[in-house]
Amino acid sequence: MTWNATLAAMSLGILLAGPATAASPTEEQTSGFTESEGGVEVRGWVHGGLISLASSQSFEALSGSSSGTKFGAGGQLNFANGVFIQGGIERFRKSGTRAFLFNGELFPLGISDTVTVTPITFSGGYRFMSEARVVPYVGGGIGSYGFREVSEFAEAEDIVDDRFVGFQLLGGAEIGLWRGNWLSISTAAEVEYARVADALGEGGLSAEFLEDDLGGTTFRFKLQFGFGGKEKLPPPEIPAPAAPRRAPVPMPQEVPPPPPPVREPPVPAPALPEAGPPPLAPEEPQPPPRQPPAMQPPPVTAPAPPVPLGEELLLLGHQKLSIGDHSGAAADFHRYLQRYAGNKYTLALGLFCDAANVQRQVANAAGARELLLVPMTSRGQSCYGVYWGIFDTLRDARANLASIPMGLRAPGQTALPISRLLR
Amino acid sequence: LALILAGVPLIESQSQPAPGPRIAPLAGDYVRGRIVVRFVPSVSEDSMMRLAGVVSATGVTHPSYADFNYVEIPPALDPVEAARRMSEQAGVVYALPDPIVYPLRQPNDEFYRFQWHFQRIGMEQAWDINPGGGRDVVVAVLDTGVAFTDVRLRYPRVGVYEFERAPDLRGTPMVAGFDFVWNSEFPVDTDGHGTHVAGTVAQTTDNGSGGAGMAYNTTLMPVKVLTTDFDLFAGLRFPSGASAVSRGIRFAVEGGAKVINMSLGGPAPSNLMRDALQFAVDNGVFVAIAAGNSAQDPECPNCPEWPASYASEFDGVMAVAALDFDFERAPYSTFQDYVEIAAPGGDVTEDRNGDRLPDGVLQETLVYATLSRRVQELFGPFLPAEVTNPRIFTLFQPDIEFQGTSMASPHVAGFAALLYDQGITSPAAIEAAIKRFASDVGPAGRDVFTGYGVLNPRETLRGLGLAR
Repeated sequence: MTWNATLAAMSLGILLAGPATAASPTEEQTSGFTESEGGVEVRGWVHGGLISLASSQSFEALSGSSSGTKFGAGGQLNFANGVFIQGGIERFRKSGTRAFLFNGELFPLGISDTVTVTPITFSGGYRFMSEARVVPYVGGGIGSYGFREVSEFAEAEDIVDDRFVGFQLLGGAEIGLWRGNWLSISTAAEVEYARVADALGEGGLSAEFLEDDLGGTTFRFKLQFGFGGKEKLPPPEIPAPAAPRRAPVPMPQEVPPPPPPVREPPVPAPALPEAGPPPLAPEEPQPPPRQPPAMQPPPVTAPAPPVPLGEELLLLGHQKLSIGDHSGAAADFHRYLQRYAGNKYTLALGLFCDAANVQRQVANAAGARELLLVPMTSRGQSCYGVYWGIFDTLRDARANLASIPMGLRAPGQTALPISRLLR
Repeated sequence: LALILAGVPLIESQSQPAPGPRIAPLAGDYVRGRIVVRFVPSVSEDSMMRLAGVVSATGVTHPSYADFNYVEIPPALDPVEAARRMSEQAGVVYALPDPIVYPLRQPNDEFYRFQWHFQRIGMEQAWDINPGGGRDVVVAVLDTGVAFTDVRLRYPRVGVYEFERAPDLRGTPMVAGFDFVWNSEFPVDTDGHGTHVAGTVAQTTDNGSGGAGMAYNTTLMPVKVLTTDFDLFAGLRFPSGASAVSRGIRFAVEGGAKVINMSLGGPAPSNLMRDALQFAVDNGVFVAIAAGNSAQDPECPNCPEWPASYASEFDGVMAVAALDFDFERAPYSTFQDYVEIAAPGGDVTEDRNGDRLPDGVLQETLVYATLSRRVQELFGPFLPAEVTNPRIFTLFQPDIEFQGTSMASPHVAGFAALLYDQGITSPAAIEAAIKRFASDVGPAGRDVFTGYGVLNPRETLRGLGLAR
C-alpha cells in the first residue's frame, strides 16, 4: 500500500472511528472533559506527524520521497459549548539533491538541498462534546507557511526564504488519559489538509512539474496538556422545580444511620410541598432563610423527632437505592439537592448509563449516605450522575476526595458546584 | 503551561518580517545576527554588554584566535546599521559587519590571470561545485592532433622529427587516440591548433605553471583528423576530408569518449559527418562543434559551415558561436540558424580587460614554424631542423593567444564533461541543460548570433532545487 493510500485509510479511520466510538459511551469513569470551572480550558500540546505533500512530484524528484515527518507544538482555548480556537507552529524538513529534469528523466546532481517548511497556523473548530472517552472534533483556519530552501554552494541570492498564506481543514479525535484537579492529559490523532497555493512553481523542479502547492495532508499524533479543566456533565433532563427558600440542611454525614433496608414493598414517598417562592439562580448565593414555620425542619437531635423534610428525601432516596430503585432514588436526591443544597458542592464520581454499573457503584458504597445519584441524559440515553457527599465549600469538597471509598475511586474525579448538576 | 506560555512569544517572533532561526542566516553581503566589535582594553565585560545595548545585543562573546568580540544582535537588524551605531559608542575601537566569504576555486597556474575566458563565465564558482570533473569522462579532441607524448616519427619527405608532450598537459590523463591523416597511432599536433583546443578542455591545472582548463581532471583522447601545412610539407599524399572526420567520430565513440570537440568545419555538407554525428548521439556521446568563422570572410561572408550546420538536427550536438570579452558576438563568428550556444572565442584585436594582452583565448600550445609554407616547400630540406621542426618550440607564450569559434567550442565540450561527471549522462539532456541555464546575451531570446546565450556553468551545474 502506498503512503498516500495508507494516510487516506488512517484519515478515514479517524473520522469514522471518532464519532462511532463517541456514539457508544462507555460505562467507565469519565475523563478527558474539557470544560473548566470558568467555562474555558487552556491547553497546550506537542505533536509529531507525517505529511504527504501536495507537490509530490517535485519533492519526489528532490528527495526521493513525497512524504516526511513533522514536529510542532501549539496552544488551544476550549470553550464550554465545544468551540475551540488554537494556534500552532510546526516544522517540516526535507533534504535531497538538486537535479535536472529532461523529458521526464531525472538527473540527480549530487548537490545537497534542504527545504524547511514552518507553518504557523490559527484554527477554530468544534469539539463534539460527549461523555465518551473518544471525543471527535473538526476545524479549519489559515496559516502562514514559512518556506526556506538552502543548498550546497548557494550564494545569498540563491537562498529562498519566504512566507505564504494558506488554509487548512482538520479533523480528529482525542482520548483522555489522566485528569487531576487542575491538569489533564490527553492524546489526539488528527488529520489536516492544507493548501498553500502559489508558493512554488515559479522555478526549480516545482516549475518543471507545474506544482505550486506547499501544503499537503498531515496525520498528526498529539500529546495534550489541559489546565484548569473540570468535568462537564450534561444538565439533567427533568424540569427544575421551584426552589423554596429554605435553610441548608445538615450535611449528609450528620444524618443518623438509615433504617435497615426495606426489601419490599418500597416505601412510598411522602407528599412534598411543591409551592414556593420563585426559583433562584443556581449560582447565586442563597439568601438567609425566611421559611414559613410549617416548612422549618425539626431538630435532628430531639428524642423521637419527626424526620426533617429534607432528610426524609435523603432517607427515602437511600431506601430506594437499597432496593435497586435507581430512578426513584435519583429523583429524591435531585429534589433534595435542588431544594436544600443548590449552593453547596459535591464530588463527581462518574456518569453511568447501565443499570448494572450503577448498582455496582451502590454496592461499592456499602450503604454510605454520602452516595448520591442524579438523573442525567447522555445522547438521548437515561443515565445517572453519581456523586459523593455534600460540602459547604469547594475547598471542603476537594479535601474530602480522599474520603471516597476505594471501590468508588477512579481517575479524574473532581469537586464541582451542585448548582451545575441542577441546570 | 510552560509550553503554552513559551508558544506565544514563539509565534510572535516567527511573524516578524525577518524571522530569526537559531542558526544565523546568510543574507545580503554580511552575516546576520552578529557584528564584529573591538572594545578598548579597559572596558569590562559588563560594560561591553551595556554598550552593546544600543544595538539590542543579546550577548557578547570573545572568539578564539581573535582580538575582537562578537556582539550578537537580533537577526532582523541590519548588520551594517548595527555596526554603525556600535562604532559611535565610546569604548569601541571599531565595529564592523562580518562580510560573507565564499570558497572560490581559483587555479594557481602562472598565467591563469590572463584566462579571462574562464573567469568571465564564472568557472571559479563552477569549479567549487565540480573541480574539474573526473578521469572516467573521456573527451575526444578531433583536431590537428595534440602534443600528447614524447615520440620520434619519420615522415616520407622530411625524415625523422621529434615531438614532445606539452608541459602543461603532462598532468592530464590521456587515452589512446589515432591519427586519421597519417593512419598512425601517434596523433601528434603538427600545427598547434589541436593542442590549444585540448588545453581549453583539460589543460593541467593547479600545478603552478601554464594555464587552466575547463575540465582539468578529465581524460583526453587525441584524434587527428585535420591536415596541416606541415603534413603537406612532410609528404602527405591525400589531405584529409570529411571522411577522416567521420572516421574520427566513430573511433572516439567506440573508444569510450563521452564528449567530442570538433573545432573544425568546411563549406560543404557531407552525409558522412552527419551519419557519424547520429552515431555519436545514439551512443550517448555529446558533440560540440565550432559554428564557423565566416562572418567576415570576403569571399563568402557568413556562409554556413559543416558539420556545424547539422547541430540543430540532433539533441546532443551543439554549434558554438564565439564571444569577445564583453560577451558580444566576436566579429568573425558565423551567425546562422544553427547556432545554439555561445562561449568565449576571443578577439585579438582588442584588450577590453586592460591586461595589456590581446583578448584572445590563452592556452598552452606549440609555435609552428615561422616560415611560410612556400619557403618551406622550396627550402625546407635544406634548412636546419630547428627552423621547420614542428616540435614544441615554445609551449607557452602570452603573445600567441588564439581567437575563433574553434576556441569557443572546447569551452562547451569541457563543460559538457563536467556536466557528465556531475550526473547528466545523456547528450540530449546535456544540451537541454546548457540551453536551459544559458545567460541570454545579444538580442533577447534565442538568436542567430549567440543562440540561447552564453554558457552559464555554475547555474547549470547546480541544476534545480525545489523552488529555484
